[in-house]
Amino acid sequence: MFERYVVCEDGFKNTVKDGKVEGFQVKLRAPYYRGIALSLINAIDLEVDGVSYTHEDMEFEVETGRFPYHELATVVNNRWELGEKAILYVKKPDGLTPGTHQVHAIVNLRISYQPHPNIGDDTKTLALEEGECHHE
Amino acid sequence: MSKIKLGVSLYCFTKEYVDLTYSLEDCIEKASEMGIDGYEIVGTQMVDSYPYVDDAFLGRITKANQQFGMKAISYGANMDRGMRCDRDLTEDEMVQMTIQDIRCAAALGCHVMRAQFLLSPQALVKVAPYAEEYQVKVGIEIHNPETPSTPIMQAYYDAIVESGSKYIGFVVDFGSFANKPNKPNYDEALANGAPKELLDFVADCRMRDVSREEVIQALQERNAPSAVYGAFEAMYGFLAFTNTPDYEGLKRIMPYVFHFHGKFHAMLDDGYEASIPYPELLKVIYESEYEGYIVSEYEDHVSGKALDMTIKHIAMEKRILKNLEEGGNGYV
Repeated sequence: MFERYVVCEDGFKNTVKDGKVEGFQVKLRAPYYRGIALSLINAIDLEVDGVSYTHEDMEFEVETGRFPYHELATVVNNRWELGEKAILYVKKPDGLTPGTHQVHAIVNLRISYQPHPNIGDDTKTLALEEGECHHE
Repeated sequence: MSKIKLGVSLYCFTKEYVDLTYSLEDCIEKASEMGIDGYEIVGTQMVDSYPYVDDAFLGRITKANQQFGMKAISYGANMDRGMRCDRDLTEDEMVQMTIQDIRCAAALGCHVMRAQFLLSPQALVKVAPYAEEYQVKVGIEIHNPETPSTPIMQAYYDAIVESGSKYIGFVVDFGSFANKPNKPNYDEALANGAPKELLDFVADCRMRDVSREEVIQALQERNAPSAVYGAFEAMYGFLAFTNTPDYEGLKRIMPYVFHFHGKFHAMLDDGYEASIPYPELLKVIYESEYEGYIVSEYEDHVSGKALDMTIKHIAMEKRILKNLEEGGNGYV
């Protein structure tokens, strides 16, 4: 229902650690009508220009914390609120090239009272923002 | 005689809230313009400090309530039984989650809370003392395809009656009594390439209570496209409908109902809801001892027509109730 909101237009940029570009980030919103605990995320899959990225190289950040992808299943006390732009960090040495990229995200949520998972599948063409995101 | 009050669920404005057209305050303001005094809030949706109500949020919502002459009357809780990836939550864990929601509801001033059926009848009974302590009545939602007389709801009924508690009961969603195919869902399937004759075939099967398996087999034999299967799942699930809505079941449970979700999907030009028999339902409620709210709950909010549709919905309810007061049958 809300899948067209999943991939955010802003915040798509390379990330820098210790002076080196180590990857990129994309902001995502949950494809559901309400907020959820991070443990309810079955999967987040990402492709950029048709290249998919492994979960091993992902971290996910909401307002209250940043977690390696494989820890998400255990995170019952941090939430992805409705409308909140979470950040998906992806490791990729040297990051993405400047210019526009096709960003395809599939977010799969486990909703107990529905007979099937809630899946948001969104593709947007985004321009890589200039300036890198620095973090320790 | 009943004292029916009308309210609006802020859930109606989900789309506008998500795309940042409306803030929380805007949602409350829009609801206040509909000639009502109270609203429902879904905790996991609009309480940004969920699962707590922190002082900042409480200050914000209290200010908006005062500004627009509104109050939070009911609180929608969700039950994420699948919170853990390795197992379902235990009954006691779900009771704890529900108690936390009761605290939130109480903090917001709500005296009614919607709980979802994953909280078992036994767990609902365990919640009763906390509901009483916080003065928040906790009702299991009866949502399509459940009706007051389906076995699971019968089990809640028995548990509620046996408990003797006035603080557990039912929140009934009008969608459980739909007697026609859901219009937005039907139209969407058509637009997605479902042939009309196959949609009508599935709708007819639903009316005649043909089994899922038989319908699936028939659709396979006719090479139905995927859009038909989507509509089929809806018609046999959350958007089920029947020629014989469970009015008698509703009459039976009325003493234990303390809140209604006035579900609607589409208001037609004739002033009635497209697939839910409001005159008949309001008549049942009107003739009972009911003293609670019916909150308008617009399910097709993705359409972006929430404001217009909800205004029409409230107008329909007022028109029907006035007609009933005058001795009519609700059809005006």
